[in-house]
Amino acid sequence: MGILLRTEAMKVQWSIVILLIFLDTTVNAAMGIMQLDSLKEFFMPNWSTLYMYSVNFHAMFFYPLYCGILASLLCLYEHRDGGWRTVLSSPVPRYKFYYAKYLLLILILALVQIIFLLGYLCTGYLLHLPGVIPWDVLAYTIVGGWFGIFPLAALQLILSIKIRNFGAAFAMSICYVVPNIVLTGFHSSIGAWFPFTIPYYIMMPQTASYAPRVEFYSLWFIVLLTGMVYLFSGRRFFVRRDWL
Amino acid sequence: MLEYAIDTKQLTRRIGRRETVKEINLKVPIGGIYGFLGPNGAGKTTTIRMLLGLIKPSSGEISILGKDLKRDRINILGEIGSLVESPSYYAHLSGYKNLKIIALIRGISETRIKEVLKLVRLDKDAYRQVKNYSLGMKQRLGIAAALITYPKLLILDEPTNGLDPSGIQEIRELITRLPRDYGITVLISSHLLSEIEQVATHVGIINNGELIFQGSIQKLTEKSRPYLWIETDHPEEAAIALRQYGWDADPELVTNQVKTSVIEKPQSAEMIKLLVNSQHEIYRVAEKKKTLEDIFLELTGQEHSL
Repeated sequence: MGILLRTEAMKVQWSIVILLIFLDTTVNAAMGIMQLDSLKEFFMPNWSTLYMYSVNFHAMFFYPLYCGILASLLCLYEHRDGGWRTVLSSPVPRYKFYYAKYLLLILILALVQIIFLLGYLCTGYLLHLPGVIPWDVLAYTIVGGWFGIFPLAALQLILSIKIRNFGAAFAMSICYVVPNIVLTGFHSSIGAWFPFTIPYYIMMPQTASYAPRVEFYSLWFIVLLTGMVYLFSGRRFFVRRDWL
Repeated sequence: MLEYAIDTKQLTRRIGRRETVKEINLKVPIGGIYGFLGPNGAGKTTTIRMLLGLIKPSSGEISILGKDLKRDRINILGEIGSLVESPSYYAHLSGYKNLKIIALIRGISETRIKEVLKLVRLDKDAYRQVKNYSLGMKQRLGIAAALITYPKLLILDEPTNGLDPSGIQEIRELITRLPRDYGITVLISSHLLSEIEQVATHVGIINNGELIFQGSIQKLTEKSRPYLWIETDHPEEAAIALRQYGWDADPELVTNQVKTSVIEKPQSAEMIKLLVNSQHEIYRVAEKKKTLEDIFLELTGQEHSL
């Protein structure tokens, strides 16, 4: 499995991945700084407020979108020039390739979270923000947000394997993410059934003024349940599929 | 002692009601070069995909190197090198990296990568991105990838597709060398007989999903019986006249010829004498042998489409 993960990583165009991650970090930092300034009459500029602004766009838009883009990217190489044929005529059980792809996808998504966090901390230090850094909130939302993307990652992987066209997959990811503004307005016990809303429910701190209505246990139950269902149906689909 | 490297029983693939491969009994002898022939869309690639376990047969059995494909897929795949349809590669990576990925998955050493790169003469271009390769180079990279594991069985689907004549020649030489030098059994598919007849020891011809011929290349050649063609002014009457005397004769009105399977010299002389005596003008007499291409076209029922 370690070797498969390594070969999968070898196929990735890391320059694109790094570019995407830095785009996310820069945009969110910029949004944070701007809103911190323009909304200073409503919310006191401090570490918590900056986090609310930064995470707003990241969790609502970038993170689920990147999940889709990265999943498509991982499969793009295989679709383009018959890579699946080489992969699947290797003497390795099919499910291992599926898990290697999934594992790499969520590892890159972990990297996205880490860089986002670092970007937030850098911005805060640069602005000499008052108050304390809300480490416990950061820990829960960054790690939790990562877990929360697992179901979507599994779903996007299935779609990326099915859809050969990168452009179509990309357009679909955007179509997913746009209604997030509306869907995250619902209570989490309804909205979280749509996997692209989950990162927002988890990552927007409940103490923040923008906080969605979240019920902790049902939310995590949905994450676990949908995550398992997508992951295992993806595996089943991948193993049984006719590779034409 | 195992006789066949590939042995299928009643192998069938159905899509809805349509059978794209119908009850095929493929027998590829060990150490041979088996030419798998058929027009485009006859079921060659579908069969090959089933052999590699990429798609599942609707019914029938596949045994490869004495093992059942359903039960031992992973072990079998470890002993097969394959190139299906177009070569598959990662265009943004170098040729070397492409092979490295395969080598890592299959647990193969670094030195072997260099070896196969040399074998297909890509060692100089190994570190260039594959997207800048010519089609021939991509094809050679595909063959290198198929050979990298020291396979016992090599499956090549249309390996010379899109190559120029010198590229075709090169691949042909490589393929003929494999069984001799390394004891590899080769299955090579093509829609062109001319490509197969120079390398293959055995031939299977598939058409509309059915295996319509299978055997050694000699057996196929035996089918190329010669005919005598007599060009005359009234072929129909000439044929009737010949048939009255018990000869086998068919008129060909378009070319003004009579075709007969009788070719022994004394009989030919008799026939011509007969025709001349019954006032037929004889313009020329020629013996024509059917080429393998004619047989192929005849067997696949495609001679009219040309």
